[in-house]
Amino acid sequence: MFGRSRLGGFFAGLAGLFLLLPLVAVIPFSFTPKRFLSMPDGEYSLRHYLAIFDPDTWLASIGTSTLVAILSSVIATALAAAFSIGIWLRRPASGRFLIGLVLLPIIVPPVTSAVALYFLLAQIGLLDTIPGLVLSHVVMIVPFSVIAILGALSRLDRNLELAARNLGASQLQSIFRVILPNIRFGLFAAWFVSLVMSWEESSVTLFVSGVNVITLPKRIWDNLRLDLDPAVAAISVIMIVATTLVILLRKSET
Amino acid sequence: MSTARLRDLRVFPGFGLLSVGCVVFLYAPIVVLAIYSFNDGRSVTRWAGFSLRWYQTVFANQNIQTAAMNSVVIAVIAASVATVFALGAAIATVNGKKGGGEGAYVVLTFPLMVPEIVTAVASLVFFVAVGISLGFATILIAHIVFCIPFAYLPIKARLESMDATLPSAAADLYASPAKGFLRITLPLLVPGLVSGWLLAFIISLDDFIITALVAGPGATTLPLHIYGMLRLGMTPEVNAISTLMLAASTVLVLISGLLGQAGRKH
Amino acid sequence: MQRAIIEPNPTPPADSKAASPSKPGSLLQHPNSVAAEVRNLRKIYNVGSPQAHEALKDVNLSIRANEFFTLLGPSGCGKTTLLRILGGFEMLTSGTCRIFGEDVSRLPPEARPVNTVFQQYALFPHMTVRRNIAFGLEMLGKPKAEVERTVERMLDLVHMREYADRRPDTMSGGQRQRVALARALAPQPKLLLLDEPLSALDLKLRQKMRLELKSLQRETGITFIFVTHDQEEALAMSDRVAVISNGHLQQVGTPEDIYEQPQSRFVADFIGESNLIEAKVADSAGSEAAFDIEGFGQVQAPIGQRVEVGQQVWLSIRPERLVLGAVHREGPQATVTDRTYLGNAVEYHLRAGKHALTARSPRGGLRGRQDFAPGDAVSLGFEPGSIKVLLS
Repeated sequence: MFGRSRLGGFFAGLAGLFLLLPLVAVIPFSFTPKRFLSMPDGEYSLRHYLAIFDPDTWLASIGTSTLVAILSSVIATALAAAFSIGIWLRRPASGRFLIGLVLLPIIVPPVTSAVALYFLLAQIGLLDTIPGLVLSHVVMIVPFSVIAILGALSRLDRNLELAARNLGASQLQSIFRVILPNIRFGLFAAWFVSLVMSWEESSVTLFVSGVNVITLPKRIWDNLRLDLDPAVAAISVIMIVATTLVILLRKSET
Repeated sequence: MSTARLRDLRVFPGFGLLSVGCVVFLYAPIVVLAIYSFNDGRSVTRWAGFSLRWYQTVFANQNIQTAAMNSVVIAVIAASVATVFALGAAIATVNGKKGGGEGAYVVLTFPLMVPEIVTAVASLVFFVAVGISLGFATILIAHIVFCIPFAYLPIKARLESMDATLPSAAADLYASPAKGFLRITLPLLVPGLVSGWLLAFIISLDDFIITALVAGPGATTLPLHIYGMLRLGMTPEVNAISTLMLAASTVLVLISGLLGQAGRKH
Repeated sequence: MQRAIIEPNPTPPADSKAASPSKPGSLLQHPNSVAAEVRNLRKIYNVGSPQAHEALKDVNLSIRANEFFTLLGPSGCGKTTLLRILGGFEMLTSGTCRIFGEDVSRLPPEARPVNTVFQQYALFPHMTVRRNIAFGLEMLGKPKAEVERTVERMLDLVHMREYADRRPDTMSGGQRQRVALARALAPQPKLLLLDEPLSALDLKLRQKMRLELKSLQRETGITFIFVTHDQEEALAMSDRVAVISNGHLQQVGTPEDIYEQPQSRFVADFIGESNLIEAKVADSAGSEAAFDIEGFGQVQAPIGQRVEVGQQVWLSIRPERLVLGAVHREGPQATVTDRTYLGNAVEYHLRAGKHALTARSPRGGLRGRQDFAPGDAVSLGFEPGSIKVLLS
């Protein structure tokens, strides 16, 4: 009932067009038979998709990204779970403050995070190493995991924990046998969000790694800086398709 | 239930420590960064007393000023244009809930799901394909586009929380659609518009990846400039400018949050 | 007593064509003119789609000027749709809709001389009470002085003067209700539409507002069209009531007509409570007929329409008009299955053959009346004229 004008629809259409056009436009470029980024004229080729399977470059980076993403997401989820359960169980007077404090880093500009982590890793000698990169990613994604887990905990009945303790479970037993099983979907969501965020993290990654450790976003970045390699278009298309699939899967679940 | 029993239940110091440790872990890099921005020495590792000299250096640096100015101009224009689009889109999608709304929502928020580097690649390829030469204009266009989803979400949320019969009531009281929109819908949307604009502004101001790829030679923004400085080596000046950016973001987000809360109370 | 206009054979008053001024604000309502009239009105939602739903099926209705008219029916019956069509918020699928003779079928809400009190009031939250009330007048382009004058008058009318500069979100439901009324009355509409305006209030306030609404209607002389699912509310306030069910107009008439002379099983059951008993016509002579009730015996009742011997009909009788007594040798009998004390009455649940009946007796067995306990056998008596014969 908000106005009968068609102006809103016009803007919505235009906004959608602007948002999707570049993502769609990149698709034909990935099928060019040429060695440089260009629009294919009549001839199509999958050579740039095959190039992704080069074990020394793209495949290596995909491996690095996957390794970093798995390590960071597991550590971030564990940390976030410990933090959230701690707050949930003890309900300290400063609970709201602590939660706010943990969520606040979400607003730190990526460049500031990057400089800060670069600075820190340089001092402890972990610059351009897998552990250093994992550490950076964990710092970046913990707040998002905390949001997911706190959400799950807020729907959990407090009496469950009391009942478990009442039935003779120790605190640890009640955490592992009552609380954690009941928030498993929240934990999974937190882990999945962390995995995706680490996998696609670029702004910090570019600063703190790049010579020995090259993640997928970093390799895309390098390729664009050096020359417009059509493999970049191919890998982008794959990632767009993957994102679409994830969205469709989530839609079909609900 | 007695407090003694409750306390007994909560005794497990490990988790409290973990919670605090988690906070420390998150803040250590930023706190260290901020502290060393006040270092009197040239070194970024050895403390030589408190000083504001690096902030003075930042404010005296012509290049930083130019880059910061570019950033602000781009962010203001991008946020404003994106907010207009987002407003139209929000009205259209909340209006047309039957069928079209869901699809439109997915389209408008899709870019939030796609990895930023992919959006950057797509934008770059698009500009090259269309033949727009990279520079200030391409940065601006790219920023407008990726700001739309961020401006859209708060406006949509505000619109959805609004009583949908209000425009009907305005029409019932002889207001034309345009007048009803200006007198009723728009004033009630102001908190959503402001927080949408602020969010878009911050996102534009802070963006690095997309900006770097579509900037081309010459055009620069503050994040690009900081990246350039960092490549030349770590100096306390970098610390100072990064800390300033953090402060700006924090203030803007706090304003946005407060406005959001005021809006909800309404 | 006014005669009920039973649709679909309406007899529109002779001067229904009397053109009325089309500008809102004038109150030239002739007592006998037609305020609102719908003809062959149909409303289908999602036309052409599999979820197509016919909300209103060929509705004909005339609402007289100065009437407090109520659309009554269960939720989802189409009463709100009808109101929204009159207000212009919903387009009719076919038929016509006239307001004081003017065809408004295709007019948007802002072009109709009609104002609405919305269910949740829809007060503008960013405006004070005063600005809310002034809104309609401002939109009509009234001079400032007149707007202020009218607003003051409206504030007095609904006793909200001391809240004039408050915002709606700081007020109680009853206060908002009054502001909504003042806002809708300020432009002096020819019709005031009220969409279940009392449903958001608690019981005490609701009863108080009924009286206020009724007296407001008399004071202003504006035609009120009131939508509710609460039959008590409808009976208490209305000059005439239209009972709607499943998109059909069931019956239109005064509250007495509707309650005392139900024309269908639906109306008999929906308005108050009724015992509905299946029966067959045994004998028919003039204005009376005899009916056979299976396992029960024969009863006599006056009839309004012709019936054939052997025809299947329904008999309706109100619980308070069913008289219980000690068992006689002849006449219908029943067994008490349950007794419920209600304070001002006692309700008996009865079984007579295959029929379950309810009787309500003021204060039961107290003050000399005979009381019964579950298991007791009782004789059933009917007050004269209490049995209504229903053909549908």
